[in-house]
Amino acid sequence: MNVHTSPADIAAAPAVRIAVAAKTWPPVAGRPAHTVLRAVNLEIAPRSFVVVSGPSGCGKSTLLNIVAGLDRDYTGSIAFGAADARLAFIFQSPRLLPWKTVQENIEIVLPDGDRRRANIPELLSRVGLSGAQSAFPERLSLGMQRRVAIARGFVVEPDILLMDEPFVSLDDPTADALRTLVLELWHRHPTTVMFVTHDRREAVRLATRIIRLGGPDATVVETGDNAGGRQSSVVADHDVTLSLDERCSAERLRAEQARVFGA
Amino acid sequence: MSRAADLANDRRPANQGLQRLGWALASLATLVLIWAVASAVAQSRHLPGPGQVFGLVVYEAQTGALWISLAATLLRVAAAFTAAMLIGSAIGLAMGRNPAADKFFDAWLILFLNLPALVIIALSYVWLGPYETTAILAVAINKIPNVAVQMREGARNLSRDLDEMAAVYKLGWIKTLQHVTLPQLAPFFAASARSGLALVWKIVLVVEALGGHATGVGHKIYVAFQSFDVGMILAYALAFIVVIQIVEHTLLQPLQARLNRWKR
Repeated sequence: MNVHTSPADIAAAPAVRIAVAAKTWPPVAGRPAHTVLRAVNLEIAPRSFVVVSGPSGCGKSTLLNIVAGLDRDYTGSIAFGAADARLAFIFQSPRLLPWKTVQENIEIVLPDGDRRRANIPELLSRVGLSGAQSAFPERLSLGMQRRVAIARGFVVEPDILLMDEPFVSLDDPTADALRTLVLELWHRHPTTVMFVTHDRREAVRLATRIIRLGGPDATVVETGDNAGGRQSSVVADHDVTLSLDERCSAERLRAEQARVFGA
Repeated sequence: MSRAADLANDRRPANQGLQRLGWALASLATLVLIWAVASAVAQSRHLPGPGQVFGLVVYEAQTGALWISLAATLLRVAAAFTAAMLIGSAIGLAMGRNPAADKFFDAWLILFLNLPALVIIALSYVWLGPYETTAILAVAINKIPNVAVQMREGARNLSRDLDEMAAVYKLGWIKTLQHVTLPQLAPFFAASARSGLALVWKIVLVVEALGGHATGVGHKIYVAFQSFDVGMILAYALAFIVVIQIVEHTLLQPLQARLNRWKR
């Protein structure tokens, strides 16, 4: 299973060009204004699986919301390779419509013309939901609801697929099954993925490229190819032992890394 | 997979409804029995027994007076109810979505919530005259603040998460309104409709009596009251309770159940 980005892909125009000069939260209730992102300049190659990692609260989700167009209060620009790029977003919570059945939740995001074309029963069986198509989401477990959200993300055949910690608060086997599922779907429907997580093990497992945000006003502290990491479990095992630095200090992370790897 | 299928087919047992009906019947039968005993003991023309009152209902139905009165009152209830739901929802949504409007009109809402029905009715007739529209307006004004409060609560609780989902997947405003926003407001609408019906029909009777209208259940009860005809008062009251219960069970409750069927 070779998932390297080929040299041709790298040479092609980026799928997303991110140039966020600054994102600042206004002062709230005595708390001063606070810059979460500064000078985040990235080019995301088409069909790459980019994991944005970094400690909690360092602006990863904010960056994803900016790319999604949900947050327009920033300085800078986001440009997509395709003129009318189709986006999908798999959120941290499933965000399903509780009054719609599983099937309706997936159908609703399709433009009216595409509804017949999309093979929803096949998609449902691929994500392990056959038989649940007429269930209401609140009657399903969280893991099952997440599967519906994943199916909804892939059904629109997005140019850009954004995922914001989509596997939090699941038990390990369930989360791992869903990681496998997402990789399978991604191989079948190649698309550009931006995936946010604070879990370094997850980052190494999924990514073709890892971007780490850090620093007091988070910026890109590290970006690197992860082709080796995905294929070598040794690196992944070492990574598990890394502890996260809650204070977003890139230096400490590097020091810890050096200690673990004995570099 | 089979677990999902089981969950999808999960339905409440059917005999639960029958059991509830049984309890209701037993409880009503007991009430009628107490009434019969009290009336037999009192031996007063101010407390006729159940048989006598039921006979009056049948008699009024045969002469047609019952149906004409019920129809007149029901029409007023329907008109006032519709007006109150529409106007109250519009005010509630505007206040729930616009903090400035909410702050400004909150005091007005509190004033109208606490204004006694009798005052609204009296002033309506003084200012507008003894017309059909006055009756409907007076009833609607009594109900509008309650609807507005409930719909404001619904509008305040609209999910930003779902709005964002609709935005990312480019649902467009029609699909968003139809499938994302209105379903969130529906439970609040259904709840205020049910409590609204209960309030509206009681006030309509008062308005019919005080406003000097020549038709309707309120008029009949007012006439009966002037001659202390308790039998007739009870006959019309019971007939109207039955009608309202039919509306409640055949229209409002199924509507609410349908709107809430996705809840676990």
